Amino acid sequence: MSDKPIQSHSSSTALTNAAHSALKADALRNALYSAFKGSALGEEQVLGMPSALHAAAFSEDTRLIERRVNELLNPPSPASLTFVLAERQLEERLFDATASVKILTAQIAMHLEREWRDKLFRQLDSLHDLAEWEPDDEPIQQASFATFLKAIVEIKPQRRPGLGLSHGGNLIAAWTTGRDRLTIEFMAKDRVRWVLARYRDGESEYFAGQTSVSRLAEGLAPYDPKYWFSV
Amino acid sequence: MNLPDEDHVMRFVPWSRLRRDEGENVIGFLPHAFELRPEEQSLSVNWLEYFSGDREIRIQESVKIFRNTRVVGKKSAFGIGNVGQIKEICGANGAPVRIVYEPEVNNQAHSAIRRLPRDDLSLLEALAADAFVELVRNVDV
Repeated sequence: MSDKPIQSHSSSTALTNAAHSALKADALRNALYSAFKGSALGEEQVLGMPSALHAAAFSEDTRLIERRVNELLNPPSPASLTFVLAERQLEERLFDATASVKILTAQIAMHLEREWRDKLFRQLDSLHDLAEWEPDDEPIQQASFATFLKAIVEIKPQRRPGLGLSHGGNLIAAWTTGRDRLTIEFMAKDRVRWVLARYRDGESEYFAGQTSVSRLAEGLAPYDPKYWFSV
Repeated sequence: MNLPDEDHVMRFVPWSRLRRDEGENVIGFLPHAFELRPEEQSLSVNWLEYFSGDREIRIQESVKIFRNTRVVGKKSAFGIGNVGQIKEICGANGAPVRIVYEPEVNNQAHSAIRRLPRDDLSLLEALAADAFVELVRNVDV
């Protein structure tokens, strides 16, 4: 079972590889400076003196730090620039998608408890975690999320669902009670499709449907909605 | 070559298609973990018995290949299912699939579940709930 904290990927907290490298370079530069600070030389002299002198005067660790600093200062190759650019574009796409659905949520804030809204935002951040992202997937679609919000306002579940995303960016909500599972996919144009698996005397049975969000509660009525949605 | 019914296959499942409870704990797979992309003709899996060694080693070898050939996030996981059971469950849901060995240059264990219908959510749920019954988290390998 995962008990890791949910990672947040807002633009203010997420760092690109390039930014990480820059920070590393700064950190190493500072470490190098600190390593030399105790010597009688001034900062400019230290940073400007030839490496032959370094080799003679300083420890292996210090020379290693210097070598790494120099490596980081080498200009990046075109290929790595392309990679960084592509990653930055993806990061922006994920950020934009997350922001757009959060704005949508804010428009119906009066229907959601603050605690749930905060949790929902954390779930959305987690779904768009750059480190976990599948290259060919689509970020969450605004039209799918709008359908999800309508469904939540309609069925008012006391139990919050786990969330997922389809390849195409449709939001998926999952309620699980023991081995029994209800999964709803929210699509554009107020459409939903759902499937549930129940176990009776060790035998599994599956039920599925596709309907409009306004008829979702009706579609689920024969399957004891309280069983899934009540605390 | 059809894989033997007693053998097992492993599928990579990204974080976004893992089933989680409201506390974000991973408790299984979403049916969409087994959904074909529009451009896919078959569902990609690794044949575990391609590797020699005990079960633990086979799992490690298969995961190693996944990590070398694709993006495998820390929070992702792998589903393991028995070939015969997958075929039986699909057949019972009106989809007589074939599970065949289809090695690739960079993945000699690669296999495919063929004839899997698109858009059959009940079947995908059956695969998620009753066929790929073992979940291995990437961080645990």
